[in-house]
Amino acid sequence: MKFKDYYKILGVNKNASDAEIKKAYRKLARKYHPDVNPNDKEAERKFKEINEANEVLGNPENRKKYDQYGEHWKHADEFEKAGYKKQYQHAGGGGQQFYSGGFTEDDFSDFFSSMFGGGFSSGGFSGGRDVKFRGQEFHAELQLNLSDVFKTQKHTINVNGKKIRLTIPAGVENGQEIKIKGYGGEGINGGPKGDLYIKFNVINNTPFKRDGSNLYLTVDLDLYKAVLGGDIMINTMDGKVKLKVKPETQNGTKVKLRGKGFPVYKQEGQFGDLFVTYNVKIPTNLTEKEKSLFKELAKLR
Amino acid sequence: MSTKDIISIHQFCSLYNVPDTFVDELNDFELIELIDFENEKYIYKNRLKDLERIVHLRYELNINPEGIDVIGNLLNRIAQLEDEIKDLRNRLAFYE
Repeated sequence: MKFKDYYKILGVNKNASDAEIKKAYRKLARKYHPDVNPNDKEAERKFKEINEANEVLGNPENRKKYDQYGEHWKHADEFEKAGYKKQYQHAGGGGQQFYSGGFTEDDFSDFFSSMFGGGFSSGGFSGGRDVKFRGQEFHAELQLNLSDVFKTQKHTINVNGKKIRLTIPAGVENGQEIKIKGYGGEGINGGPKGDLYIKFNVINNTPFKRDGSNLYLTVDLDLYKAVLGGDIMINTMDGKVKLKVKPETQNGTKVKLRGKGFPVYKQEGQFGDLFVTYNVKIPTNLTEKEKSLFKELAKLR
Repeated sequence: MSTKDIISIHQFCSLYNVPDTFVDELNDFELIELIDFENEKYIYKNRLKDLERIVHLRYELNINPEGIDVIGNLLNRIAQLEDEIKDLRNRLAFYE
């Protein structure tokens, strides 16, 4: 368990007055408050940290104990035995202000819990994401392969011990977030349930590049087929197709296969296009005979 | 309109321990939309999240309604930009 330097966290020195601590805390709270940093996990972490620091330094009894034991906090129990009266669990806050953040006491660090127990002084964070009416929002991430989101599929996910069946429409984008109404935390006082937000991380496990519903593929084409024309088989998302290569096809030529791209999100039956780019491969390791034939061809030009 | 979709402002204010006049002030600043129903004021439940955020900003960070309006506009702008970044990142992956 790591020692936490609460003075450093609030950016104040050890002799800081109560007013200075309060001021530093409020300034940092304005910066990292979750309501001005939505979906920012780093800000959320910092916000929890400064709240914990304020819980200790903003309460005279807690600060005294922390100052006395500091890095030797493991001996703090002796302090308790010496008759130190635990007041923090009942203190009214002593003018402290706590901010909401969707936290419970579990969010305090092990260091804090070890030194001060699980309780916190002012009845937790005010105005809380400790639910007063509307249930808490839940956020989850789901990792999917691109090949999976080619078709609408059903998934069962586990959120806070509750199984939720999801239908994921084909064509979902990487980074897209969907809201599932009423699948968040329970409301209280007759309040509505919170919502569940699921973000999709779509990993491209295919040779295709994706731009929305259009797919792009580069295929190698041997020189002779490029010059003389012919058929090639290429893979699409739903099977192989035969392509006719025109004679004298140039390197970098792009052909469009209409409707062979990716499904359009929530537009059933609609698909984007597949763009195939030919990469003409020049033969290597030519035999003497091949070289002389190429020389002959060169002379003809 | 069904009452299950709305919540009375009076109930909200008492649960969140804020004066009813605060919500009137927000209405004056057009930060929230109030609904008059049978001589009582209500807000749509799907706007509760916004109202909660406003209460936190007002009573935890001491931000006045003008400031809340500015923050709301900036947060919307950030959300738009984040969407744009997401799209651009997906397009960038295209070239990598």
